[in-house]
Amino acid sequence: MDQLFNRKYIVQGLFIVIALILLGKLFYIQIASDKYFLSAESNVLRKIYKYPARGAILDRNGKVIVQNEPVYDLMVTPNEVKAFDTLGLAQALEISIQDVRKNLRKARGKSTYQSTPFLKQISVQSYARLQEILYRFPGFRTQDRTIRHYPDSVGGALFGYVKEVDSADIAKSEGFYRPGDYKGKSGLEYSYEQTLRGEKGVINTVYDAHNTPQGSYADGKYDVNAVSGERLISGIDMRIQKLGEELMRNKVGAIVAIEPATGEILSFISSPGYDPNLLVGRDQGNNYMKFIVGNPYRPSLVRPIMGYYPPGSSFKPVDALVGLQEGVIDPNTTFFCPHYYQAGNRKIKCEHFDGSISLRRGIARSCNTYFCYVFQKLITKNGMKNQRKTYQDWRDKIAKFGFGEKLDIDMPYERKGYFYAADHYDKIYGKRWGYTNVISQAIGQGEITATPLQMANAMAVIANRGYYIKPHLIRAMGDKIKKEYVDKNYVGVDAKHFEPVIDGMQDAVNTSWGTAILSRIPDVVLCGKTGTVQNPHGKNHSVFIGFAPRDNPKIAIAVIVENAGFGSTYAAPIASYMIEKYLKGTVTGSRAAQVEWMKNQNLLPVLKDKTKPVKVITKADSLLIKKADSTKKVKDSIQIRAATIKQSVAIKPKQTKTVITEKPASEK
Amino acid sequence: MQHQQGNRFFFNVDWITVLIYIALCAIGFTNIYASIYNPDKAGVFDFSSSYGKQLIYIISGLILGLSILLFDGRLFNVFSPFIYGGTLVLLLAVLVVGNKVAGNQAWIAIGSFKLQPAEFAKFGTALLLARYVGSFNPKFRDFKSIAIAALIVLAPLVLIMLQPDTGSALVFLAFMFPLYREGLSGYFLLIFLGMIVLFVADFLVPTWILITIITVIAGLFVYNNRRKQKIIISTILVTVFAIGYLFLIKVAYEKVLAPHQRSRIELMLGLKTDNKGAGYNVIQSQIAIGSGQVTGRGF
Ligand SMILES: [Zn+2]
Repeated sequence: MDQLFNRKYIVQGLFIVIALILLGKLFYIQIASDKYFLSAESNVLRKIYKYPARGAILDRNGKVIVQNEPVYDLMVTPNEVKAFDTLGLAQALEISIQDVRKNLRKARGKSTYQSTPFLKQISVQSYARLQEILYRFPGFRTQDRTIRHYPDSVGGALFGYVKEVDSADIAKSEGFYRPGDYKGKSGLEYSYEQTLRGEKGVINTVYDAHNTPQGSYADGKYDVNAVSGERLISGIDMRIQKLGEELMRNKVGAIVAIEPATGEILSFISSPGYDPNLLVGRDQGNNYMKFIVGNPYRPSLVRPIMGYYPPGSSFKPVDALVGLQEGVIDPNTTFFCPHYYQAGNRKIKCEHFDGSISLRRGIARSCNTYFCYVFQKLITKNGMKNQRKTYQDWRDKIAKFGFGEKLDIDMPYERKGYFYAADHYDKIYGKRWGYTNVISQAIGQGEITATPLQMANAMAVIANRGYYIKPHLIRAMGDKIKKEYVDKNYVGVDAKHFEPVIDGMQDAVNTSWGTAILSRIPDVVLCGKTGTVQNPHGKNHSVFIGFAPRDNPKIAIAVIVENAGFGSTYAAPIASYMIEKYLKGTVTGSRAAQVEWMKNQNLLPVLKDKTKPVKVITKADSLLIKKADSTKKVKDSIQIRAATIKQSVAIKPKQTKTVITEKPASEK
Repeated sequence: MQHQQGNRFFFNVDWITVLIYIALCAIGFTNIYASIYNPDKAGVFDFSSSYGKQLIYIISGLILGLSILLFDGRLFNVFSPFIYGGTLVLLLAVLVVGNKVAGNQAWIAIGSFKLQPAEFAKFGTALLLARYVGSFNPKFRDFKSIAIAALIVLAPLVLIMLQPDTGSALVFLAFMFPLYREGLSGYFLLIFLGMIVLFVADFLVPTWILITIITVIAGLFVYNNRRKQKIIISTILVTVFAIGYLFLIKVAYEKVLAPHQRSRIELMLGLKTDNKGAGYNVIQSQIAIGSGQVTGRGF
């Protein structure tokens, strides 16, 4: 006999032992242990999901700006439905009998044996009525959850909205979301979804044959408690957020205000805005089509981070800072402004004849000639032959202020603006091109565009005298302070160079020859810069950027009002009201009336689509006239103002292309 | 033997195995049918459903098995090296042209049909190993025969590990049982068992305690056999290997196993409870099984 024959039994024995172990475990689970026991008369075990409350959002002063309200869904499991009092249910729910039948049919179409929504977000009254009579309707049960409420009714673009997940969300979440779950779809609701959403709970509920819940299975051992979403503390100051949205009523544009020392965003306004409460509840879909998609001014465009605007004159302080740092100018450098600047065979107009003009006055009066000279010196400082490389170097230095790159704000869909590297111009002009080809960038026009966030951030850099902290909307999640927002991003310009530039910005607002003198704030030194940005699609954009107070600045701001004309007329006053409100808590004196006047200005641009006529006030300088009357200044000061206001340049982007053929001449 | 020729077909079939196979298929099918039974869409022959597909697999399996029985057994004996070689080529090919699904490169897609070479490799390895074992009846006492058998098993195993498909690779370790049956030293089984015990123990008990225990046992063993040099040396070797293995486990656990496999092990050993994530299925299964009681539910 085979001496190994008995090994057969050893192997068999091993398998039998393993089989016995498995059987034993089964016996334990199924019979011996009552842990897994389900009582004999019970007939269904159902998973009831408990929806957590989404996290609230607070503003910087501790005011609740996003909260929750309870709502109830009525669910139905069609194959458990017995013949029922249709009228009774319809009355309790305040819907028609037809709707009851229709909804039941719909639910049945989805699944007959799974619980699906019959009617979503029923009112509290319906819910109370229903609780008493629900036993008469087997197969029906209520499911409670919460929906968002925005007490101030502003900040649609800021907060975004929450919506039921679609099949793509469910597939992407790898099992986290189930049909019927809600998810942030834009704004803060989107970017902080994982913090706000909390964790769903599951209650394994035992139902008896009469569809009455018998409590939690196995004393809740397998249940999961719902965990509420975490609270977010934002840097938003709801007082100025609200004021800003009111000021921007019937205007298209954006406002971004930043606390320079922390990078916290104080207000984030996209106009036209919308009441986020419109996108909550049963009318969400209809309201979205009506107020968001249906609005020709595109409220869905989050202009503070998606709107592209040439920075225009507001770019000049940044240019001056790089010039000072590179040593091509010093605070006493003067240039001669004969009403224009000659770049090769092109003339760049300056709005005034400034004569011999210094840096400080050049900023205050927004002299185009001065900054074209600065740019010329910057690009040619390494010789005419090396202009391409020097341009790239300059571009990288300006980019450190945050231009041409995303600032990585805690919001979805941020865009980076256009700020081209040297190779972009190689494609247009070949390898030989120089400052004259790109001179329009000296004054923030031409190919450079920036988002309002980038402009406000550049102001924060100047307010901080040399660095910025990543701008962000949320400063803390729950009780944890976010740590990533403490790094100082230095822009490579020494602190000493900032004072001469800030002198000019102070003069722009606070002297008779400045461009924004009508936006002076009593007792506050506001430093700023107006811009009237040429817009190829229509009327000029009104731009103001600035910060206040001059020493130890508390707020940096960028205001853009599209198609509104001069920077000094709309953007600058709006910025000054926002700043005054933020610093003092209220807008004082005669300026309070101006705030009301501004709120009522309608500056909506005329739409090309003639089917939707919109009333537009075209008198852009009506404010100027009104104020001039009230302040009763002497005649010549009005003339100065009138002259200063027209400060923009006339270089159309297309004109830069016409230079191509004349390039060799200008290169010599 | 000669007179059996006519009835060979029926008498040589291992009827017990066939019956067990058919019984398992029937139970499996019934369970799948019952678990996804949907009163909306009844019908056993709904081939788009899971149980419909299962039925197709069962029937084609039976047909395939029957056809294989019709071949002369020697055919497989002769062709086994080629079949084995072919599966190795497929295993190599899947590493190059395979589709990556959930981190595993285990499939070759041919149209809508998905080929999983690891499955063929089981078949090919079994055939070649059988041929080798049957060829000259090795007793696996010498190093050479053990090495050849190990090579036959380990070559596809390593290739499958590269995919990486740890689950399929582990199946190949089961070839140890027939080898043991054919004469492989029982020590191999013991070592294998010991490795499993150490693996589990390493998660439940701190490593330093395990090392202490191993060292103490080894020390006692050496002390008892202090006159026998050969035993002392092999004991020390085993101890060193065991301790090295303990450290290797930790590294391999982090590097080789996928996160979902790690969490499965942790759940099984009761190191963590997770009512929602990876543990959810386990708990739901336990509830499902537990609610069955003696008579069962669901039919
Ligand atoms: Zn000038």
